Parts: sequence; C-alpha cells; structure tokens
Amino acid sequence: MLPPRPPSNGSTSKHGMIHPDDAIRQTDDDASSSRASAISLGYLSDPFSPLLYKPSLQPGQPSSSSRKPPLINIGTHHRTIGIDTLVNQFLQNDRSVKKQVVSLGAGSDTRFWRLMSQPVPPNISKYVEIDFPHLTSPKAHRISRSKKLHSVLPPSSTSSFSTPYKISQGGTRLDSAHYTLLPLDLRPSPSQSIHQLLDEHLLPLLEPTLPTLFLAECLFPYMPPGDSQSIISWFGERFDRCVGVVYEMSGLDDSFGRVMKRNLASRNLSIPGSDPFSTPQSQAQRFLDPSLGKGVFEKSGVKTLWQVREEVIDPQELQRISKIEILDEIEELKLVLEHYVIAWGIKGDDMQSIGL
Amino acid sequence: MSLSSDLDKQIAQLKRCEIIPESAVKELCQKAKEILMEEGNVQYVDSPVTICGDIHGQFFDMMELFKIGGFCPETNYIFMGDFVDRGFHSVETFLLLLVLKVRYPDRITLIRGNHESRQITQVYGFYDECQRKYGSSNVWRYCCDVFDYLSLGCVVDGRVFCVHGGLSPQVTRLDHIRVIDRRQEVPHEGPMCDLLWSDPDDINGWGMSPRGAGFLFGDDVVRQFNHENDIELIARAHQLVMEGYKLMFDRKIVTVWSAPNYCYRCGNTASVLELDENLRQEYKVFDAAPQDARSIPQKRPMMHEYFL
Repeated sequence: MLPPRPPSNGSTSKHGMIHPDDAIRQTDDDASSSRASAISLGYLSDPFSPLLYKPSLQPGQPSSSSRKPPLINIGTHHRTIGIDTLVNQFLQNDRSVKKQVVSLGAGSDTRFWRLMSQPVPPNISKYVEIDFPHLTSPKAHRISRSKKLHSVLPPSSTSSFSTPYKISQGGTRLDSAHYTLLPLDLRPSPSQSIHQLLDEHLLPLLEPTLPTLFLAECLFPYMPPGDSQSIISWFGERFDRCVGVVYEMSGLDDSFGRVMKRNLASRNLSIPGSDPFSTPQSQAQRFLDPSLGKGVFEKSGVKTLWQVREEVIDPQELQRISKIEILDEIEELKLVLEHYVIAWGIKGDDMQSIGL
Repeated sequence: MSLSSDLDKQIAQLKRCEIIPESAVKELCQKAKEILMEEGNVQYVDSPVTICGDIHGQFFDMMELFKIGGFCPETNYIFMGDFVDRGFHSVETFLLLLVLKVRYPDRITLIRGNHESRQITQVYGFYDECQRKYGSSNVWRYCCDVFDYLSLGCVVDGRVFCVHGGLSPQVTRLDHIRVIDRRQEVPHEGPMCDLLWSDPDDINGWGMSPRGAGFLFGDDVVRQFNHENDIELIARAHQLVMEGYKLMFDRKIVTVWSAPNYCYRCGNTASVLELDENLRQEYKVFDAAPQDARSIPQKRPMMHEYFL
C-alpha cells in the first residue's frame, strides 16, 4: 500500500533513492518528452505541446535524448490516435448536449487546447484536469503566461474576473468558466475515502445530469487496485451517462512484464495496480466488476495498442508515418504494443455507440 | 612487439569491455578490410561451427554466449550480422569481433546485417555511442568502412546457407549473390538489400515486408531455393524470437537470435546453433548476463523506455 499522502518536499531520500512520489511524477516527463519527440518528427501535430511542456534537464543525458527511438514515437502516435478517437466519439455524440471531461493525472496534457482550437470546438460545459499540486503549479503558471493558452479559455458571461481565469491555492489551481486545473492527490487518507475526496473536491465542479467522460492515462498502475476501482465506481455512481477511458500497461505476468517491473523498480517505480490485469479482457472487465456496486458500467471493451495499429488507424496514416523513420523491427514493436491497452466502459442509453 | 601479441593485448582489453584508442581502431579496421576484401560475397566455411544471430551491442550477453559456446579460436564461429545498435556497448562488441577476425581469420566469419549501415546506425545508437565514447565520429566512420567489406552470406560444407535476413526474388541461385558488388552502403532495394532485410512468413511466394525494405517469402520459395542450390538448411537471424530460435517450413529454415532480453526490455531468451562435423544441429539457449552496475552505464540513452 502507498503511504497516506506523505509530505512532498525534497526529491531524494537519505538513501539517495528517488522518492516514490517523485518517481511517479517523473513519468509525466516520460509521456511528455515522448510526445514532444513524436511532434517534432511529424508523427503528431500539436502546437500547444511546446507551450505546456519544457523538457527537464537530466544530468548525464546527452542532448540527443530529446529524440526518442522510432518505437516510442510510433507507440505515442498510436496511443494518441486511439484515445482521441474515443474522446471525439463522446464529444461528437449529440452535439446539442453539453459534455464534461475529467482527466485524472493529466500532467502536461494538451488535449483540452487541441479540442478547443478545432474549427468547430466541442460543446464542453466543463473540462477538469487533476494532478499532484507539484504538476498543476507549473501548468497553471504556463497557462497564465501564454496568451495562446489562456485565450482558448472562453470568458464566462457571469464572470467577474478581469481575466478569463482565476488562479488560487498558492498558484496550484486555475479556474475558468469551462476549464479547471485541480490540484489533488487522489490517494485516500485515514479520515477520507476516495469517494469522499472526489465528492468534496471534484463534484462541485460538475453537473451530475450531463454526460461525463473520465480519462486515466497511466494512472491506475501506480495505485493499489482497490483505489482505482473506487474511482471508477465513483464516476459510475455519480453520473447516469458516463464513459471511462483507461490507458495503461497490461498483461505483465510474462517475461516482458517481469523485465518491465524490474526496470521500473530501478527507477523506484512500482505498479501494484497492474497485477490484477493479466489479460486485455481483464481491463475491459474492470468496468463491469460486481464489486463496483451501483457504480457498475453497462458495456465495456478493450484494444491493445497493436490492435489499435491493425484495426483502428487508417492505413494511409500508417503509410504516412512509416516514411518518417525506418522501423527496423516489427516483432519488438508488436511485443511492446501488445502490452499496452486502451479500455473503455460506458453507461447510459445514448453512450452505447462509443468504442474502438 | 609482434603483431599477434598486440592483437592479444587488444583482445584482453576488449574482453574487459574497455575500448582501445582511436589510433588502434584505425589500424585494426585497415587490417580487417584487407582480410575481408579477400573473402567472397558468399564465404565458404567448414564444419564444425557455431552460428550466432543478432548481438546488438549487448556486450555482456555476448560474453554469456562465449561462456556456453566456447571462446574463439577454440570454437569456430559465424556471426550473422547486427553486431551494433540498440545495446549499450556496440563499440566494444564490434571491435572485439573484429579483432578476433584479424587475429584468427579462419576461425570466425562475420557477415553483414541490416544494421551494419551508415543510415541505420545514425538512428539506432551506434553513431551516438561512438561520438560519446571517442568524442568524434571517426571511429564510426572507420567501422562503417569495414561494414562495406563484410560478406553477404556464407555456406557451411556447401549445405547450410547463412544470411542475415533471407532470400531475394532476384537471387534464385547462390551464384546470383556472387556477382553483386557488395562494397557499398546497404541499398534501399535490390538483391543486396533483400538478403539483409527479408523475412520468412506463412505466405505463398513473395509478399510486401512491413519493415519497408526487403520482402516476405514463403515455404515454396525456401523449398525451391534449397532444392536448386542443394541446401538443406537456411540459417538466418534478423527477427526477435522469444525462445531464442525458431525452425520453420519443415525445418528448412531457422531463425537464430542471440540477444537475450533484447534491448534490456523484451524478456526473451537467446540461442546459438552448433553444427557438428555431420551438420547435426544443436541449439544452445542462454539468458542475459546478470544486470549489475557495469552492464548498465549511468548514461543510458534510448533504453528502458516505456509508455508511462
């Protein structure tokens, strides 16, 4: 079990090991630097990534480390297309109805800005990004400093702010009419369960009657399995129309998985939350588990990133990205991509068509 | 000091995973070119011999290979290419193989893999590693010059054809390989490219390769090639196989993979193929060297990467 909310000051313990919390926070750098690499090479297009993510300088790392290996660029591309597809299906579904999105462990994610800068932006009533204060603080700062970022935040008609946003909680929180950046440690404490935590901090921002999508990208593996199921059941209980999207590693009880756990352990990362999910199907099943009680979802599905490559991505797009870099190895790509899944759960009548 | 004692010193040094000076690399590469120049596009090798697949700079795992297979010259070796890229120690790996080649030219055969290429090594790590370890690209350039001289394949006792990737629609007879002018960068198409890039697959005839170079080829192609050239087995590398080796098409072709826990990430076992004097096959599997401080340097580019 993770300790209940340890103090987050100082990045290394007396043993010189990275504190587990900081090790988890650094995973945002993995995701964002992979994204930056894929963008700079032309796999993906995202004008907001350079505004929200600055690569952290790591001692001993050669400067060329900003360019990731082709396999990482390709996987990042597939992950993005897969998740974008589900999110867009949700947002495009009956555009007359306002939608809500909650991104858990959002880190430096740019999805909100990419969505809102589309020619016809989706009808979003609220988009909430949640992460450790450590990560929301630089993000709030970057949003306030960049006109390109905060000009996307639409002013509220009833707002009394002189800017379209308000920063609070020591610079870690940013609120605007349709977007909130919420600093929150999602771990329960002895005095507060996950449901109570989300009721207190998240629920007041949302409208329970509106269709709501929550997104957990590489978040649940770092939590005890019971905690992630509590988060899923909370969304299932509070929202009649709900979509959950989970992206994470899976099927780690083989030799590839054992090596991954060992390699992550050398970075002081442990992933107890991946243990119950030995097959892709088990990731879909987590939305239908009877232990979710009233929060159980009605339908669910899953695809590995390899299946996303084979079945979801347009062959012309695959053809396009195949020209960016020489991919020397298909077996390795398949092996790695088969160990990542995008799983989704849906509930509510008008959500039934969502899925990859 | 005599030449062979110089070489023995370099062998000892490289076996400890210590690089040799740039001037020594230059001289070594020059000598290697003189030896390789004399070798055919398809080199003849006598059994008994031990055949190895991709190594990819996994130096300490190659030491495990020598532990189970015996060291050179006691054991006669064929290495089927992809010595460099991906792993942490491409420089030490390739230079050790090269100095063994110069010291014992008749006891080790090196054939070219698709990674023995200027273009690929700039994407997959060897170029960066040379820059990092020598402060310039000179060693990379010397090594790439050697790559151009490596054989494209070899034949053991006239019966076992060894090649890095596979077959080519433009190569139905071994003689077709012999006429290639191999002293060049690996081309993007044509028979030389195909030999280094192609893969066997469960198809009929020829198919498009998902790698974007070379072809896929089926059972019928292998059967025809082996029949026509009086070959009983094609030994090739090039594809990761989790079990270390994989026989296909009624045992007419085998993939030998010699990089255990490939890229320090894949969790696979590795193997070598020992052919005795009657060409009887024995596959010896082995696992990665125990991970310790020296096998994973502090500066570790492109490694342990996951989607987190």
